[in-house]
Amino acid sequence: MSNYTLRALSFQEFKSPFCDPWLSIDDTFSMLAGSIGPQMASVGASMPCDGEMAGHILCSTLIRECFSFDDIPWSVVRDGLHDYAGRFTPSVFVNAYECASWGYIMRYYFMKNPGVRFVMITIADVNLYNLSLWDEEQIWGRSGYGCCTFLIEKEETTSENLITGYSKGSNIIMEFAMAIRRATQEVGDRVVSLPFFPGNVRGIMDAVLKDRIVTRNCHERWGHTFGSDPWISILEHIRTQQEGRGMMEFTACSLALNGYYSILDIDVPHDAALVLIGDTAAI
Amino acid sequence: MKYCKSHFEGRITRPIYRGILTDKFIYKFPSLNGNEAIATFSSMNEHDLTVLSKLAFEENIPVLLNPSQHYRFMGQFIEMVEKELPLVEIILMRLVEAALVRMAPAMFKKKVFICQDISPEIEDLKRLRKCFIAFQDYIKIHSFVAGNNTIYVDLYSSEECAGGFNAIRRGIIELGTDELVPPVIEDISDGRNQQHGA
Repeated sequence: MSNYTLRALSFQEFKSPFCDPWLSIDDTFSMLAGSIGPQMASVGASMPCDGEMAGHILCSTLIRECFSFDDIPWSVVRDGLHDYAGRFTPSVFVNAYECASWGYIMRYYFMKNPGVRFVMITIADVNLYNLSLWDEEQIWGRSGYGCCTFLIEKEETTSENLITGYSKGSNIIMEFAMAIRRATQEVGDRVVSLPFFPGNVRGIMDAVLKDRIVTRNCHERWGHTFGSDPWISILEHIRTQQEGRGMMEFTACSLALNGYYSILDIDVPHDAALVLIGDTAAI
Repeated sequence: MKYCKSHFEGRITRPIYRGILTDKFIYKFPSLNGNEAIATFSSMNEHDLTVLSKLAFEENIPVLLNPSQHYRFMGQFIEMVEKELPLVEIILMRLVEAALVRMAPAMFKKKVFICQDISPEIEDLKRLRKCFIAFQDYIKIHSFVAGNNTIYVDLYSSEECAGGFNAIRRGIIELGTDELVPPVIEDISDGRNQQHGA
């Protein structure tokens, strides 16, 4: 058992380009808010009435230039989201930890609010300016775009099932795989949910983790969808095990290109609200 | 209980670090100087170049730190806080965009949290009466980043930390920052708003 439980998880895929690449950044974000705001509200609806939330935070690997170019302030983005997400509007935006941001966010918000059980995270990756350099990369291959929102409950126990770390050297794939190997030494049948990479890169991870149960590499279907990968992977895995699904145990793992990583043991109960929107209908 | 805000405001006006740091992990968008810039632009298509050309840049602001040096500066700040202000529970830092180089080791410490616009988080930490320090820099780390090289540091604390805060203030100045306004300690408890010199 992990001290973290997934209460709701939703992912929707974006087409690329997301919208007319010559649309103003304000209009682009308005469209984005119309897509992801309702998803935030829907996931937030899984909060129990008496539950307290440590925070809802938006993070991304690819949404970056708009802020470094000073093209739009966060407050305008947030106000646009509020029209759809209401009380589940994210308070801050995080890009610093790239694909591993979700783990660092969890670490901080649960540390800041001891005793508070819930945190909600949205990972949105969209190529806002339709820059070709984001469409493909040597290590991660073809990029996938989409938005993932999840609600996590933490139980106060003496054990801690979240690891946030970073590579010390330059072989980030191997260091990441070894960190997962160490973290999953005594986890029984827990399924390791890995990011999607091209076969040659993912092959390194699969070799290091050859005696673990790992999720399927769906890079061909989804591309590398940044911090959302392990969450899509959980949804994909559960979809194939739908019949008589009980509590399932996963280890969700994300790696940033700079070597930052997040590894989380997470339990998914049978009544968790799960949605996967791509070519397929909701599961 | 008394709750105070100590404020520092400065601007980097000269290169802080000597020499050129090697950015091992740069793959795209390096510091955009010389041949690296040519290589970066060469890999862009017509659309990319048109998008970039439409974005406005303040060309009169000098680039005094590259991305690695910026992270080094942030890391040194964290180390100063840990040494001079052990009471601080949280170090909140502003970063608009992850550089394509690895962050300094100190930036991964548990008490550090880095986000894009830290003002909503500052308000929440004030509401919780946390002892925390907020570091906001607007350092221009390459030509494609907005910034005017200013730095704002605010300490929120219920205890007297003037000594520690002054040590950090001196440390930032020694690193190569000009102080823009006199340091201020402000009592912000119970709606009071009393200012006095540090």
